[in-house]
Amino acid sequence: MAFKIESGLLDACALAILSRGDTYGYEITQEMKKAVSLSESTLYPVLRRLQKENLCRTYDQPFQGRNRRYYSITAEGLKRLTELRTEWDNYKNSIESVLHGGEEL
Amino acid sequence: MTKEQFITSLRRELKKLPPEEVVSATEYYEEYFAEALDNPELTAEELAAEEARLIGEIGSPKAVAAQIKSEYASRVLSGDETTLKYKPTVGNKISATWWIILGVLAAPVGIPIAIALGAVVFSLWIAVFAVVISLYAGGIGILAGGLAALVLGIIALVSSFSTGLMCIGGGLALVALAVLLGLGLTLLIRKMVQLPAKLAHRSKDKGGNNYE
Repeated sequence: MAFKIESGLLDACALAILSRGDTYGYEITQEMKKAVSLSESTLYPVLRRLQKENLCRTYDQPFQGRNRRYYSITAEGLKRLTELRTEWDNYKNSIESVLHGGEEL
Repeated sequence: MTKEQFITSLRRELKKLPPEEVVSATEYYEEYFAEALDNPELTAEELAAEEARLIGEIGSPKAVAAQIKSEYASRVLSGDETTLKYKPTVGNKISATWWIILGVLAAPVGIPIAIALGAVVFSLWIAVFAVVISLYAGGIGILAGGLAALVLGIIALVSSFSTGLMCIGGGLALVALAVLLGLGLTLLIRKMVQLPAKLAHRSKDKGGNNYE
């Protein structure tokens, strides 16, 4: 793909996935890969940062004799997601106004 | 490389990070492998191939560790990280805070000590003042004695000229002594009264210099 996905967008996508329900690292990666080409190792630092910024938290749940670490969005995370969505819309519109310059949007 | 080897070398690459970070990252990848390879329909051979493919896709432990370390570093630099390791030193801030905390903690002891010191200084000043006052009183006594001797000497001139003359001389000498004492004491008292004011004034000047 010609366009690089930046960390702000990764945050936004991860938060959006979490806003639909608690899930675990592997699932989040698979979900993200549906939309963007993403290395399997990209997501962990993103999740770790979100967790440290208190935008999501984790809890452990046993699954088939092993552990699954679930990620859950916090109230702060939801607030941040709303902000990121607005920012994305503005960004998208300004890029489109350049790319499709003169056309009606 | 097997997944166990991957985890081992990832742990080795991260060894400079706080243990909490290392555990979090290795647990994440252990779980990731378990989820990705959780397919009962695959044979052992297919699973091994899938494992190799997955490790290839994840990338080298060194590269994975580099991502984790850079995320950690940016967290530390942005000041969100409170872990001690790698924390940039903020010596002045910390010591200022500590001084305030120390001051607050020392207040129950420090305030009585300050009051006691103040009381000692004040009582010393009072004692010196009392000595000066008593010297003054002595001076007044000498003056009175001298004047009396002078008057008596003048009266005695009539009956015995030599006795009267001696009394007048002694009286004059005593009056002179009293005047000298009085002048000296007055100077001393003026100095004593001015001293606290002068000290206060000087410290105010010093305080003023700090703002220049």
